[in-house]
Amino acid sequence: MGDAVNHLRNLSWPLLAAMTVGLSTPVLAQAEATTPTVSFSDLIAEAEQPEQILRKLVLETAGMYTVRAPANSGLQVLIDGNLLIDATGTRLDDVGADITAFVSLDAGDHAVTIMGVDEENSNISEVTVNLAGQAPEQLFALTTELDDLEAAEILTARAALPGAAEAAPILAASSSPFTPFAIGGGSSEDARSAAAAATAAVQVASATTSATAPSTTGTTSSSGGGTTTVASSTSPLSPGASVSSGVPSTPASGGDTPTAPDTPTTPGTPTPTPTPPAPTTPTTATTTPLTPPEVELTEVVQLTSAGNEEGLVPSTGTTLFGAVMTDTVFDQVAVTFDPPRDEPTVVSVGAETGQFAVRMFPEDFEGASEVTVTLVGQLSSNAEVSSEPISYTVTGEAVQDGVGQALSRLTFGATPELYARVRAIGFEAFVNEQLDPDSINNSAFNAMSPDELLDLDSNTNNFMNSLRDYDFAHAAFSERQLQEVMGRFWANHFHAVTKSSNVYLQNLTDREFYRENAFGNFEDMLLYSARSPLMSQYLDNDANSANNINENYAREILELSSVGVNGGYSEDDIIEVAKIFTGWDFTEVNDDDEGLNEYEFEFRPDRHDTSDKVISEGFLNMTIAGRSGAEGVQEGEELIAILAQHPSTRSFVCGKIVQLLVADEAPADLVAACAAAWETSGGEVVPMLEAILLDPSYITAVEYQRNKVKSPFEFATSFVRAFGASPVAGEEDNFYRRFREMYMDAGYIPLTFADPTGLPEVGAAWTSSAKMVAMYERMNTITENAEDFGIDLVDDLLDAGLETAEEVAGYLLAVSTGDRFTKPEFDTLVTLLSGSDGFTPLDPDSDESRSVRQALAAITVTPSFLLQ
Amino acid sequence: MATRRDFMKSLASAAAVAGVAGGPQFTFAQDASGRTKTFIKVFQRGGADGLHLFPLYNDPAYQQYRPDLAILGPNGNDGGRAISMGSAAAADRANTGIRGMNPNLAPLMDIWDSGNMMLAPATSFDGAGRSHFDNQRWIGTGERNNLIDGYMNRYMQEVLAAQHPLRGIVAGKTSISTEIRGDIAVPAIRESGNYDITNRDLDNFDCGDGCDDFRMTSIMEEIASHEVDLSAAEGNVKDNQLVLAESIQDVAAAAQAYAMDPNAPAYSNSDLGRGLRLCAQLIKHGLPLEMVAMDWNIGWDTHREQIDVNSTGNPFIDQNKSYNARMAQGAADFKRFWDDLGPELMQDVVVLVGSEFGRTKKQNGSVGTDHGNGGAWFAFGGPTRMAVAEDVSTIDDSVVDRNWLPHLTSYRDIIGEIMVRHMGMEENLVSTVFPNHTFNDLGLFTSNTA
Repeated sequence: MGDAVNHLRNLSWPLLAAMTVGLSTPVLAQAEATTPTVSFSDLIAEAEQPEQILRKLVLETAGMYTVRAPANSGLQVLIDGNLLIDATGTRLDDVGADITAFVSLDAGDHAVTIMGVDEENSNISEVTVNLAGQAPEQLFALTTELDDLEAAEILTARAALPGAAEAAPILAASSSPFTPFAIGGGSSEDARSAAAAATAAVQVASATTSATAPSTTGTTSSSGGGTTTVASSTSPLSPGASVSSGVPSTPASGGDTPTAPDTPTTPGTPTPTPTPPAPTTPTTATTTPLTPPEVELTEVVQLTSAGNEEGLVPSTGTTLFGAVMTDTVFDQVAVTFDPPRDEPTVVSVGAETGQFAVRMFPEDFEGASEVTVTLVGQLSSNAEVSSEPISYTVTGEAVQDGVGQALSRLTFGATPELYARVRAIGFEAFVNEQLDPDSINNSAFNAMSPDELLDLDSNTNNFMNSLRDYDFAHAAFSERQLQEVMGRFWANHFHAVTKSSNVYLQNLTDREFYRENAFGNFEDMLLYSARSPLMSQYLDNDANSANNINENYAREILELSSVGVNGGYSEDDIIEVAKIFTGWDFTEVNDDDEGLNEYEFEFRPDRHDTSDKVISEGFLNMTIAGRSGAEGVQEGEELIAILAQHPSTRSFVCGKIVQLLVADEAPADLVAACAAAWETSGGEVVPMLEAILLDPSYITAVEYQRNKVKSPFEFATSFVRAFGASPVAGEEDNFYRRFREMYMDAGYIPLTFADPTGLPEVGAAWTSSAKMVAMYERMNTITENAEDFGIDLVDDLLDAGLETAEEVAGYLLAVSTGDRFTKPEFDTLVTLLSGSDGFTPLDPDSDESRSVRQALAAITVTPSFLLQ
Repeated sequence: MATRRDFMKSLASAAAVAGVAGGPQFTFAQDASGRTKTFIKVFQRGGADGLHLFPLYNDPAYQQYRPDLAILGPNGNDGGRAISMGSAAAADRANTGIRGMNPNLAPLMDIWDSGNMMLAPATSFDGAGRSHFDNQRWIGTGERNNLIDGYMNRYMQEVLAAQHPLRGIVAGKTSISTEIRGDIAVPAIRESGNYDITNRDLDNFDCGDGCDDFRMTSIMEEIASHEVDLSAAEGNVKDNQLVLAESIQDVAAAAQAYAMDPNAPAYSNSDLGRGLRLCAQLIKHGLPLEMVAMDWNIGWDTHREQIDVNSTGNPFIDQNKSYNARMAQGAADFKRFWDDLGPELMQDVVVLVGSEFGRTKKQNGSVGTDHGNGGAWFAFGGPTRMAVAEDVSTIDDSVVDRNWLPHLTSYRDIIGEIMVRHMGMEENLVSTVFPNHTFNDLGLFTSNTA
């Protein structure tokens, strides 16, 4: 394995290293480093500041112009004061040598500023400009000297022009200069670093909160109001005396109720005729929603946790926790609701803890948002024994906290810890945190050494399976969950498969690229995919040459990667695009024949079609000038730059993102919001995601919730995450293989899915009896042997302070469904856990592991577990 | 939207009122003899090259445009050449070129020679493009629009029959084909073996009367049968769970009975082979199977090296080339199915095979072909006549101006005719099953006189 890891580093870590350099080398530092003492005397004479020169560009025709500068050259190019190209960053060799920008310019005079000219002036000669589609010419040769005064005149005159704004680079945001190839050099990276620092504090501050920290809520009840009543001391319970008359139920402080309606420690007053319930006693339970809080009891039977500070609970269902003061008397609680339920509800009381749980469902709030819950303690063996009823009012409200959306869409499944965390910090903070993956401590995942899963030494089949497992480990265990979600999305968007070639290792290289650039720039990814040897051999671009056109890639880059099937292109356009990509080939780079072959992009001028390419009026309405020699590759780069900013691309790709994150039928307004962010940012993924996720409707619209179906892959990862499965030492291969067999049997076949569409996202594609059989049957092998998969639920449940069947059923379903499940599902679990002899996990003589395995198996076939 | 559960509930209450087991009787799709009719649609996903499957071998332009790929005309017993389909292949229409059969499809010749197979060599539909995924979708929905239901599901909605979970199925694969997706949930059955759910912690085998052998399945079914759905996705999940639970026993029983037949053929372990085998099992077991969607995917998207140019043998039949071998494997599976059912049962079954488009008439720069339009569809069984639908006389540029065959036959007319002539559907329902389509009777199937 050691060799494998080193091999991997050699292979793909340069890519990471390059990115790191970009991140850690701020633009300013580079600017200082390149502050030149320009020796080119003519230029020095022109420029007041030595690193900056001014040139005058006079254009005869208005139109779309292409400006190009070498990447990593330290140059910045401004036209009429607008920063158009920023090549001060460090950009991967992998994505090409030039930075290309497009700008709409009118006829007349323009002021061009070039900053960062190097000492030998070698870089300035490489800056080119041309009317889009024509051959580039040296910018310097086309321009004339310009002094500050005249430059100011030009800018002033331009500012006065109507529609002056249109002279700004169309692809650039005013505040964030457009860098088409932002990898390592984009200003957006720096912006994100800054954002990271800002949100880091949030994370640190709340990092200590966890689902199993009862102290937080335990203190809430006693600090909640002015009353100091300690119920257990003022109304001591004498078990023998309380048989039929109930217990002294009104503490001395009961009179406080009218004046302190929000006092948490003042319980509703149980009287023989339940009065309109007084203020609710429950503590707020914002940080431990899954486990019962420890509360000093004031009543013989009472709720200890229900709702938030306002006493509101989600009308989509919620678990109320409660406790009895003396569990030797009451072993069950009868619960009645008003509006009433059809069936009586009786819940068990923990023999050791005295706790109980009552689940409320959406149906309970159908008749009224305010529901009265009345509790009566009972002794199952003696019907004569019961407590005075005590009533609480629970107010249901629509869920708007985004917890369910956060856990089911932005991750590969909820974990108990994450559940508590999102509750604690809120949806927006969670989104911001996830959008800044570098700020997220991923050391626990790294300590699992996922690299060691990769098998680079045996055969290609084993390698591909090992890569699937490597990806599965990331999805299941990385803390950078949204990065994983989006990385998977992009890899699937640019889906490519090894097809009758030896291009295998590129599957890993490309997968890592999309993971690392999940929040990058779309144009980077489009160009990367066009140059990928994996894509090239998959869609036959390597067989596409002048006079021997193969149109496969041309069609799919339009239909699947960019503008979409309704993008307006004609069949003839496909031929022209195919000609543009002639000569885009790849070549083997490791000739030692050790291990898997490595390849890299190679442009072959001898195979390139040098004719002019005419794109139809109905599509791009332009001619891309044919070029010979090494410059032939520019045609494809230009086309990619245009496609990446085409309105049809924006709406097509945004439609897919919204489909992923919101609904199978992507809502048009969110697609539009995403496309607008794309237009403004020049295709940066973070603003696009912010536009979707931070739109208020994302967490408030009921129709966006629980409306998607997990893919078999998500079914597997969410199981791992919800129930804490993890590889047992020495069993790693078996662990990953079992889950892999499950999602692949169900038709989710990463890396080798035959269609260039990639795996479908819509739920209907994953909902069928055959897929269910595959998923459920394979999952049964896992639940039947849960301990072999690192699952020890009985211990987990005890750690979480749970004892009764209702508590456990509520907990298991909550973590596995984002707290959205149905009464039949809950009742089924309670029945299974209770069995014929009750559920007594704390009894040293009982073994509840089989009951828990049964519950686990039942959860896997619930509709709610399959929804997200 | 009427869900499966609504329907089952109405059925149950109707049965209760009527006081009879089994509920109301609807008519099956059946002829006068009362036998269920079955329509099996096989999709060749990827764009099968119709000119390669059924070469226009006498056309000089075909030989000229495909210098490497053109298959030579029949010559005695030379197995590397096109197989003659006899005069019928040309006699049916005026001005038609002569079609032969790809030598890898040789097993289909028995079916052809029996007079119970037709070929529609330039099949497509109005508004077809050259995108795989668009065309597959529009073919499945039956019209170029945003319908969700497939035409097979609309047939099931329009033609009343006794509700049975196996009335329509997807066979041999796991995903629901667009053609049969819709309001009526249908099971997808990859293969009959292991089509069930077992859990050793939940199931209670051999525990005596009154206990549940397949408790996990029962739990799934019980939860799914509750009506409270908060989203369409939830309803769809439950409908699919129910149709799974309801179909398990029949599938197992059919497979068990089939296993007793010593003459049962060995189908290939491919989507097609598994699917055809499953159909044979269900049909032979007397289950009311009407609509079946399945796939025959062998890598039809032949953009490059459609033949092995380095082959030491005849490149058109060299079985080391997967394309050839899997074509032959598929043809053999069709022949097995034909023999498995026998002449009697094959009267009740029509198998229709087709792809989303044909390919370019000229080979491209990599000894492959790119996306085209008209493709070769064929059908056999039931009332299928020995016939060749409209074709071009030549693919010469002077006659066929684009680089692909035109659309001369609408697949909607083929299927419309199957539904009317074979399934016994009323003709006026064709425009419902295929919205806005006016039925054009091509006479490729004999009239059902029943």
